[in-house]
Amino acid sequence: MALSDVSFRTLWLAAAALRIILLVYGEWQDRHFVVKYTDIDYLVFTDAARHITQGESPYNRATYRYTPLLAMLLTPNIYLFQAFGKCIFVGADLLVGWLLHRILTLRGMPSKRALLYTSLWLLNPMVANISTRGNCESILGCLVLGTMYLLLIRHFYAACACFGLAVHLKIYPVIYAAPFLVLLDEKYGLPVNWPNMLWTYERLRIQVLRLYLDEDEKADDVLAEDDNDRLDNLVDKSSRVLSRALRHGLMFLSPTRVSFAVVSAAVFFALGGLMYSMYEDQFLECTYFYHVTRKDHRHNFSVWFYHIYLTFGSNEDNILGLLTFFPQLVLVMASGFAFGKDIFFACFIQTFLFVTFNKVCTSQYFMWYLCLLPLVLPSTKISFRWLGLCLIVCWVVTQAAWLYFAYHLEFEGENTFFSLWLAGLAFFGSNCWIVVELINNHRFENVFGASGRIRWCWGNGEPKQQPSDASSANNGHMVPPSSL
Amino acid sequence: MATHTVAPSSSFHPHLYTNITFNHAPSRLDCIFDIIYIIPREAFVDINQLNDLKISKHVVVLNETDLEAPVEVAVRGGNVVAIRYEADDYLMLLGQQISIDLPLHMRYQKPDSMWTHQTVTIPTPKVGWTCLIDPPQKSSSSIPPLPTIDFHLERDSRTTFDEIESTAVGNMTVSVPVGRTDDIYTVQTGTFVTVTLGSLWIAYSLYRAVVKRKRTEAKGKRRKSE
Repeated sequence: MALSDVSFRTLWLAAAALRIILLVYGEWQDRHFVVKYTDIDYLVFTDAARHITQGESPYNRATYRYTPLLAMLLTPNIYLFQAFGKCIFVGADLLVGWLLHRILTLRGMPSKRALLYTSLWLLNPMVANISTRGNCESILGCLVLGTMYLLLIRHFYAACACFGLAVHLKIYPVIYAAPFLVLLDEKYGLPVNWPNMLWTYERLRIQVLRLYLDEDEKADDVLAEDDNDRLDNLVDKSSRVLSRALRHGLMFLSPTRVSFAVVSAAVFFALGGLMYSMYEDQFLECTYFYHVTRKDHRHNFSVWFYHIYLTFGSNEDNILGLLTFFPQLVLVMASGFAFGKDIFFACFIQTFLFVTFNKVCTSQYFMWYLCLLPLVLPSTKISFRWLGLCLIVCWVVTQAAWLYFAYHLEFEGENTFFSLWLAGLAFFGSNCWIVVELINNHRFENVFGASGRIRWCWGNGEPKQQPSDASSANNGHMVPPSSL
Repeated sequence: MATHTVAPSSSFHPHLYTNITFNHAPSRLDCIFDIIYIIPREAFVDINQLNDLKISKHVVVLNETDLEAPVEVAVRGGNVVAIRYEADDYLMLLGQQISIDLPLHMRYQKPDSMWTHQTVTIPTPKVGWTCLIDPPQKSSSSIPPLPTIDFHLERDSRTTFDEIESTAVGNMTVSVPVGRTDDIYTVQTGTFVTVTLGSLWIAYSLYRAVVKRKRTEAKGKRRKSE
């Protein structure tokens, strides 16, 4: 069957069939073999769901460190059949595929070509394996991509709700706040009618900015007339810099951005408040604080693991916690703000950096950026031969080396700590190389054009489709307020 | 007689194998046959895993419940694991040899300056019949509490423990690799240098990308897709 004969429906059905086969096989392997197909995390989710059905806290299950919402969602594991949760995760997996295809075609890519990129997710055996083993990362992928898609088609409040829910489920999507806020630029139009309160805020904002603008002109005049006193100059310069920073800050805080932040935060705190009312401090500790303060001394892909193990419990441990956080925070935020208008690339780079620099890194974290990869590849100048191939081989080989030493440490009891650390450094280095090459070879593509419409940067759409069809994604587009 | 062995002798996930021939009839039917494992703090069992394995109808795990802590943080010490067979179930298996596979997990040990491995000794399990001193009421179906064994359990004066012979086959030891404290300077320097260089490299590429884009925008070049 040639690619031209394949439709998205066919691809989607093939992906669904693959996952159903793996689900059935997984159940068979669990029944007949000592080594189980199902991930240990899925058993944790099911046990937590069982506690909920018995009227207890899901945190009675040791190592359950997620929102109670997830355990509640999986209570049919107890009432109906144990693989119910896996079906949910597989469904989310397939929805991610649909979202990828939709976004690719919204940005002008012909459907047939979009199938190629979508199949990187839908027909990826690693992705299918992870969701059918009972890992819930596909739900996060769904929510993150859903937020981006909803922002693209200007369903503003739905996007806010989706984002708030994503951050509630797992805290890492909060890093996407930076590029989302950058994307919500006023010059692309208003995605939604502002309520009266926001109009009031806008009037106040304009007034304050005009006052600052006037002060800047006066400050410049003063300097031009009299610059003999160096100390005064320094003070003036500092106050001008501060003034400009405040001005830029206030310019950034447009009503649209403020409402995105407020509505998303409201959804996040509402869900959090509801869970807190049911499970109190246990909820906060297990769902959020544990992940923020987590230092896993056991071997994992993180470049920090051996250092953490050797200094565990010492005073150095606390200083290390701060130092590891600093480069991660700076790079993740910088990339979010730098590339925010090319939202998919920004989020991909942010996630990749977050995972690479994190104190803990396991295989399931790779899913966080894998779901965004099909939206980045169309804009890269990296060709498969030979740079692309080298990058892939480097990533695979360094990971394989790490896994080799980890196996010998864990199951053969050999002391491979130092070799494992070296392999971790190599894996970190290969990830840095991948990020640098992606950044250096990326064709920066604003999502929205000057008119506020979605730019067709990946093609001219379907041959039968008229350009005006792209504006169907811009329903509710409004004329932006006059510039300041 | 019961025999016990630990394998593999060097791993983070050894197994404690027990072989018993069920040929010691109980003195009373309200007694319970106990195989009691004293797991030192350097190791732990996962009760959820044991429940999934369905080794017996009654499996008791006491003491330390933290599955992730390194040995110096496991403040409650090790585990006491009891695999219990009611007399009726035991009698149904009378004459048969039973094999029990208890999966253990070793905690990360404290790094050491001299040794590459630390040897952890697993005490030989105790096997025998636990009976209540005062026989229960006919209507009562309660299982006798665990017997008084070592210092891990509360002293319980209500029970007696009729121990049967229990021997270890080979060394009941597990060798666990430990980090080398001598590595700390190299690891600290190497990690910080690598992370710093990686961060600077990425930061530089970010800076160049932003500058290049600003230059392009300043030239007023517009894409066809605009």
